[in-house]
Amino acid sequence: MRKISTLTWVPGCLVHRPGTFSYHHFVVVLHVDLITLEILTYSLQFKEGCDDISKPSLINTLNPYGFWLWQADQCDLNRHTASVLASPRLARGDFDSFGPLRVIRKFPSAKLGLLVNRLMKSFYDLNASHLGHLYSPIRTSNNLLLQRINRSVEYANGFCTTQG
Amino acid sequence: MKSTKPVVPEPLADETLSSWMWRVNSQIPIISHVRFSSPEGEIKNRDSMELWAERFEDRDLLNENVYVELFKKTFNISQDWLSKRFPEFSRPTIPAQFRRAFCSQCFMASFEQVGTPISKVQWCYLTKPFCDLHHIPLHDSSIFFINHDDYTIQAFVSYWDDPKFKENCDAICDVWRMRNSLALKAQQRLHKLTRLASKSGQSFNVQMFMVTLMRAMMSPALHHGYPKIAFHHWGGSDPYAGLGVHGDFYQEIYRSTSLARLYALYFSAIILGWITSEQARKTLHEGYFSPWSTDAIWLILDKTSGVLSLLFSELKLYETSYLNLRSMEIPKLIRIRYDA
Repeated sequence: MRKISTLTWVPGCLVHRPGTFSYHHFVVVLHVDLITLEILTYSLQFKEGCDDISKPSLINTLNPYGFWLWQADQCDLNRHTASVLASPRLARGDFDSFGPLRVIRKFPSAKLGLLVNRLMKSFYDLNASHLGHLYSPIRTSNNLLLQRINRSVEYANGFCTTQG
Repeated sequence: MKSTKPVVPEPLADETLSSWMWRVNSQIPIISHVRFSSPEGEIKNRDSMELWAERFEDRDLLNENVYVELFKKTFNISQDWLSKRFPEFSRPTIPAQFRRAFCSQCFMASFEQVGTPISKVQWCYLTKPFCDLHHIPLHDSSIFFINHDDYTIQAFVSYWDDPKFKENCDAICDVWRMRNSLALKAQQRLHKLTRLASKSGQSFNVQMFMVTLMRAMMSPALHHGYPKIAFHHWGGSDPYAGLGVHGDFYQEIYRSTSLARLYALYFSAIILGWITSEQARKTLHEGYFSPWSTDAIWLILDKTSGVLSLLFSELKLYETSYLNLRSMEIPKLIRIRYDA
């Protein structure tokens, strides 16, 4: 527990709700090992009423911190999601913002910067170069969006295994 | 084989695949497809890649152009013949959906030579805002490559027909004469470096080092140094969007105008020391607010949060013996701690 911090990321893209004309911001909740900077698990949180969007999540059950991850998931993430989405930082709507969801342990800023840069490098550069509609975030398909998030988490984790 | 080959017109030097195919088809109409036979040449049906919103198919690449097979069968052309004349792009390119740069002089020259304007491969490169042949800045057509099969013709026509378009293009060449010549020298120097580096297989890194610098120079903090017209007709439906620091940094260069890329190259050359501050200061009458010294640019970048650490982490990825951080003059400011 002491070594895990929870980080929220509001990607600068919108998720489309199938069958409707509505688009929503969403929060990617990342559980990060503070020592190795490995992303142990992540889950996607949507606003209430958007439960029909598929939520893949990457959970490593063999991880020694499994219990703490399980406990973290038990917390009322929905309430926090609502507060993150309603925060004034999101007034501009199309911004990538990072912040702690609940302060379990303060994230060292240098490490946070490193992690954010890795995630963004993959999200915007490696998996989005020559992407068709990046400039209008509502035109990116859900599948592609989720794929890009998954790949950026994998990319960020790739650094941990090669370095450590 | 011998009887078929003379039928196909040879591509001109540096001609793109799509431009050549359109030229062949206009002389020997072999493709009776809806797309090619529609009067405006406008592409109505999008490709499947675009439907998935992943990316647009690039008609200038052999493996993505759907008509290549038909051409091969009709003219009995071998794959080797094609891949020798239309090799893959060797530098970072502008994505197909935002491609619209052209050189008016090249248009005229090819029009006089073969009766049809042609597009050139070098116009697709991010780090080449100038025409290699005529040494003038490239212009941005109001017609997009992705929308028209006969893009080159449409661009040529709109260059002459759009009200004040040609006059604007001429003005760009005339008004910023000194900066243009300095930036052109930077482009030529980068070209030489890339050729040197290609011997050791590092040309991609050299190019990406420059692209990374240009990305940073395009950040909103430096927009006051650009002429206003550089942000007109930005690619896509929106103006410079603001996806956040990272999104802007990585993506905006792809849909930028040629003039914005020219200025990004100019500022990158200043920061690299290729253009001295004395040279840059002499051009101040061409844009009073543009930063003219290395220190000033670093200071501006230092004040914007997030850009510096991003820039350094990116530059480190593309360091080579030709272009690297050690050879750059970076002022010892307190907040620059790129080693951390």
